[in-house]
Amino acid sequence: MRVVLAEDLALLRDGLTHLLTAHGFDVVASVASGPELVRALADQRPDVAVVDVRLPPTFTDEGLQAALEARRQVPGLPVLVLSQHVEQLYARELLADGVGAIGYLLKDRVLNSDQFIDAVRRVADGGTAMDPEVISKLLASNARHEPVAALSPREREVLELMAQGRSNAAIAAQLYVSEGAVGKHTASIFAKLQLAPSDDNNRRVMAVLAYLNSVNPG
Amino acid sequence: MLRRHVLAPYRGLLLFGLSLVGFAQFVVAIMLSFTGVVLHMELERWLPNLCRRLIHRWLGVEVPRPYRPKPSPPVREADGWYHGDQLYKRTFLLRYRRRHDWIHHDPATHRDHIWELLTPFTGGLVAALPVGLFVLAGFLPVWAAVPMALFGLALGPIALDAYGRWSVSLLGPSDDVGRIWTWIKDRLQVGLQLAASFGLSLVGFGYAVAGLLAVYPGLMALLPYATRDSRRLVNLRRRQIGEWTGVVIEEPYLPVPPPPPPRPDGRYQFGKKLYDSPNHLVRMQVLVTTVKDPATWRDLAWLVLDPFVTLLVGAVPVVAALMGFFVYFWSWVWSRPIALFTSFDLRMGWAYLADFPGWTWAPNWSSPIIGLAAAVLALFVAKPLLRLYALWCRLMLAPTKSAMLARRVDQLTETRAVAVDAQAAELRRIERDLHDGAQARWVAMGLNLGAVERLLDTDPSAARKLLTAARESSAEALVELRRLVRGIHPPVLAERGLGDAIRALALDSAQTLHVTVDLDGRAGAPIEAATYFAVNEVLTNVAKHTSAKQASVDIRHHNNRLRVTVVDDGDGGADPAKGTGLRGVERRLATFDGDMVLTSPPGGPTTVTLEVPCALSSPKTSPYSGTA
Repeated sequence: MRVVLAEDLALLRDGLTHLLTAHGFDVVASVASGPELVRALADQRPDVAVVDVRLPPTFTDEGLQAALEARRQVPGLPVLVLSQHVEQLYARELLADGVGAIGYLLKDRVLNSDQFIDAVRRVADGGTAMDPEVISKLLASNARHEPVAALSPREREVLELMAQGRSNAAIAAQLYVSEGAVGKHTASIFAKLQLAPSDDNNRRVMAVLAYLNSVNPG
Repeated sequence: MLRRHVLAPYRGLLLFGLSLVGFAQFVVAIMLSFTGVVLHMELERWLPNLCRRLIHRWLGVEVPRPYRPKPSPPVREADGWYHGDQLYKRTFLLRYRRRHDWIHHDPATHRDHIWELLTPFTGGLVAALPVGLFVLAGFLPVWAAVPMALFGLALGPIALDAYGRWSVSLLGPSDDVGRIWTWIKDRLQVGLQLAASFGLSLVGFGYAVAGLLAVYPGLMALLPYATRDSRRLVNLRRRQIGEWTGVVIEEPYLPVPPPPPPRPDGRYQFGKKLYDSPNHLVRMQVLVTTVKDPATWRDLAWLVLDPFVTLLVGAVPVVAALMGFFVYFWSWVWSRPIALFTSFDLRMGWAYLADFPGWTWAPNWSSPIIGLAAAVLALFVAKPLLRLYALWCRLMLAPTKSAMLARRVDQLTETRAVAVDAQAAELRRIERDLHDGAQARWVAMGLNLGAVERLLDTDPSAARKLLTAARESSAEALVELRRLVRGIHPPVLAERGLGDAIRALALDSAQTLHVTVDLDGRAGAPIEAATYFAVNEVLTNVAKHTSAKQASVDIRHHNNRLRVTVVDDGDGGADPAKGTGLRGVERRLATFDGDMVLTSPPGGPTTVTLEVPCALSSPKTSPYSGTA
């Protein structure tokens, strides 16, 4: 699987390259600035891009803008965005096209290499990987609103993991329950949120995220 | 066709007759109005209404009645009284007042009066012209009389039409005359202000004399008492001039410094002398400040000169205009009709300008013309004169550059102290957070790793547990660092600027927040940060202290000021004096010459407006379009 990596800190860039290579990824380009990233994305057309939000030359949100621009040109280009901080605002912008194949994680998550590699794979396959912190903020700002408030604690847990982009199997493993039980919970959540049930894992996640994002217009 | 020509002279004659009736009615109405009777004024409208109908019938031009609707009858309120400008037991007086105001404030009334006053000499006269020609023809030989009569016949409809145009212009619903009247009234008011300026300058001259006496050696100690009152008057004039002309004159006086602290022995030192109480010191400080303050002496100079200046720009033009209009024009207008019936001469010896020494060149017929011209000219120059006077006052009474600088220095000293304090407090907070948070966690992490090193060979399972703990410690340290960074300078603010930073804040908030942003660029980083934290504080207050469910944040830049308005739907009644949070916001914004205004009536809504003067840099030219 071909990866383009953009990260301005050399230490972290090398670390990520090693990590990805060790897990069988082929890092075709690892760059350190926004303009380089734009070029690499256009030239290499990778299977997945791992991008730091803040990059030279402006050290603002170069990486994010480059990723969004690349996805405008190649819809559904899988991009995993890494940042020192996560914001609902950015998550919203990344999810806005509703195509999926998007990841948005804190850099801290790299520490847990298994979960990080899992997230990269999920994004490359067209799934989503939202940072737990984004999702918990999202749920917190929805907590007052009627349908979300009506969920049981277990359903909220399932919703949280589902919104992060986990599959039923992964949720079941995390919560130590059977996959069937997770299925029941998800069905109940969809009923309470009045969303159309869907078997497609990815489409289901996008629907949940769109729902959660729609309540608070900001 | 022929009928029109035949009828026109008769109709014209009738209209002329009516115009004479109108003139008579106007004279009676004016006399009656001095007695305060206004009931006639509504009846009086029969004549203009009749002429409107006649114009419609004969000329086919519809003239709508321009009058305002009648006032509604008074209604007794729940408390048993009738409410007007005061409370009334019975309706009679109130009804009278309402009718009076209704008629008197209607510009159409004044237009009617002008029409009644002028028509006999203008439109009415023209309408009567054909008949006049017939009469004239009666005195002429036949060869001249016939063409003249024919001419009169031909002229009839045209003359009638001219009458119609004239009357419609005044009787129709137009605010033109209202506008002219407003224009004149504005100038009359300015004339009054000029006259008042002269009057007040005489009062001021009294203070000037007192001030000058105080300058006499030995009486200097009295100066503060003299200036205390004169400053009140001069401040009043500053305010008045600002209200009248829009020329803003700021108060220039130096503040009296705070009294010095007592010596260790509890006494107060002034020079080489010691005093038991600070009273004398304070008195001396007031005196020294007053004497040193250049504004004291500029005030004095202004007070001395003011009577002469106002005499020139105020009293002379006003008196000339009044004399010109009333003595030479108006009395001339009225002296003729009065002289017809009585031998009373309204002008009482002021007949002509030529009676004035130095005006002997003026022929008698020119007096009313010059008089009217002087009045009209005065109307035109009134405003420029007042403005000229205002500029002169600003020159004398506004703070001098050094006074303004001195005041600015005071202000800057104060805000700098606040800023430095705030910054020091901020650094202390960061130091404490690092010390108690991340630093402590790293110490724990180091200890754990040390233990792992020892246990690795002897007890691998225990080592594994410690390793997990170490990793968790590092993750927690990161979380804490992130929180700290957010408190120092939120990353979104650095990356996206104020608008998106507030949007991000709104998304994380438990309330529903509507954010609108209208910014063309980014403010300077310190201003962005100060504004961000100010808004954050305001929103925290909204969440903590109000029942508000929704709030809106509006951010815009206008007239070189960044303005953020936060409105919530809570119960209101917020008092900035109660919470230290909002006070802190105010003080921090003051560093940037910004300010905060809170309005929070009981029952809500609460509005907080933050304003900071600043320029926006042009938006960052990003290679990526769209979402930024």
